Amino acid sequence: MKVKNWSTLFGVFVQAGVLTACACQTNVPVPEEPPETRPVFQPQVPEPVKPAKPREPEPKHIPGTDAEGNPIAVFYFRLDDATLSSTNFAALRLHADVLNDDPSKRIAIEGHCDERGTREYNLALGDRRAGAVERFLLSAGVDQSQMETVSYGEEKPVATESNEAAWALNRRAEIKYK
Amino acid sequence: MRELVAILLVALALSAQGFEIIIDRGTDNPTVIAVVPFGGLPEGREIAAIVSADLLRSGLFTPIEPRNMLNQPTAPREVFFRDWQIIRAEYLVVGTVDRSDTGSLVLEYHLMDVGSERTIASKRVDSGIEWTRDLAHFVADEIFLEITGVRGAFSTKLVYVLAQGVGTADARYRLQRADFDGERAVTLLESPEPILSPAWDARGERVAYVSFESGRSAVYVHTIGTGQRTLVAQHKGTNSAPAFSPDGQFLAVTLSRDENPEIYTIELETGVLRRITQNDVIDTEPVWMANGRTLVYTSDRGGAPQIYSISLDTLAPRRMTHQGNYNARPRLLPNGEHMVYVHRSSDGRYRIAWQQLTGRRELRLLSETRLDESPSVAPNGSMVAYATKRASKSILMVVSIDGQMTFRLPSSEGEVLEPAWSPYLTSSIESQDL
Repeated sequence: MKVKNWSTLFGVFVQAGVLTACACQTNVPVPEEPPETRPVFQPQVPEPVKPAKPREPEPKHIPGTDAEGNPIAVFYFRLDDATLSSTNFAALRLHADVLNDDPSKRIAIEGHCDERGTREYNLALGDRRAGAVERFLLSAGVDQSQMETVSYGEEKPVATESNEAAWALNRRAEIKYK
Repeated sequence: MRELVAILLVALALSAQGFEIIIDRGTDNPTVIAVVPFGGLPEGREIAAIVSADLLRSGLFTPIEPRNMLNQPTAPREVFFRDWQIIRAEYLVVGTVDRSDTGSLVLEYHLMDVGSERTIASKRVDSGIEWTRDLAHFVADEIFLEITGVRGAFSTKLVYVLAQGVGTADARYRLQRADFDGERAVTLLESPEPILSPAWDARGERVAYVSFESGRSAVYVHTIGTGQRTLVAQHKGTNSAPAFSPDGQFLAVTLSRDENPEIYTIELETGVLRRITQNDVIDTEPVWMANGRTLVYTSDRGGAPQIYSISLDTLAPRRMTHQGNYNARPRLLPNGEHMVYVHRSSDGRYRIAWQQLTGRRELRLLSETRLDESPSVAPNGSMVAYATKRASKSILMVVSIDGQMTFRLPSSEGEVLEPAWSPYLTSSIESQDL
């Protein structure tokens, strides 16, 4: 909710800026679409100033966001598999919105694996996992130039134990904003 | 007093080696050999100890420890064969070490057959500019050849990755080169980002590897003698799994620049790329057959990783593994008839498997642990180095090709990964018949 309000303010601010620009430079194209007013979620951006009073009751949870209201940026995979689970789609659509709203934004999509199996195969598997995220975002309208995929295979685990729990955490793709 | 000094020297020599020899399974029929501490200079004891340790690691020999020898002759005329028959030695090595005018070590040794009571070989070996360990490994190679008919691989090197702080901000990766037994390690490259997939060229002069030092994967070729590095592949996506062609002019690599991990060859002089595999699944981990016209590699084209061969002329793939749903990372044996690879067994363990390339393709498992990977074969085909985990720590093991003998390489500093066994290397050591 707080993010939504901030986004609305941000949209108004952008609109004001565009209008100002138009007043002095007539050849600057005016956006055909109305200013963005739907929720825009910006991961890894410092918390904006909170508005004094929320205008409407805060929703409990928006699909695809974490406890802080930021879009989920880590996506987990099954063993030997590079297929995105449909439970990740909501979060990925939120990232697509962020990237579509600001074409200057760039992300790295990292692909990771658990330690099992061979290292080179895991580099390739991590590549496929990052690629699955990239393809989803492409299909959601994100420009190829905004994305770079990097596979680390099993080289950068978040959990270093050798058990099912650690392995589940390591089989992942991560979106990182630059 | 002199005796005490000698005993201390033995103790030092053994502790300096620092390796751990684990005998997992009883060897079927190892050859019993006695390498008697060589006379002359004190180095003689150390050299004999290294020769014994080398022969033990091959899995084909059981050396007799000096304390179990009834006496310790240093020349054929001092040998009483009955003393060696009693302790069931089949072969006996005696000799002396001296220093030449130029300061090199000179070992004169005699290899004797205890059963027939005769001398098989008498040699004079000059270390030249090399070190005591080089001399010892050279002699072990010669003895191995005399008895088995196969050249020993004890003078070869391993390249591997030493990683510290993996998964933390302080991670350090080092590409190390060491003797096959893990001794005398030197650092070829150090980086805060991962290094993997080291691979030697056929002459032992260059190593190709993947380094993430730029933040993304890239393939480099590193000339060991000069330290010179050449960036060979840094395309969009993943650049990995380099393998030198037998003539050293090409690298096979895996690139995902065209969407999907596929195998390419790169002509090193021109940089010309040729795409070898064409599909929408993973293809990776190529190695070259000795003819230079066929690659053996891992592919998901059947739905799960299996090993295939592909002709560079026809680009027609042929499946080679059929047992289980995870067979990957092939490495060919120098005899051209067998390969080793990583196999996932039905209990979910990843182990090193051995099988024939053609004909009967039943696999044989060489390792007994559960997270085994990165097999690499000694140039004589007698041993396989691989990485595994023990107590959440990665270690290197070497197993004899018959799976009978396993030893662990020393690794006190961190995680050791990705062993790559060198080809035979040139040496200035010279040997003459006496």
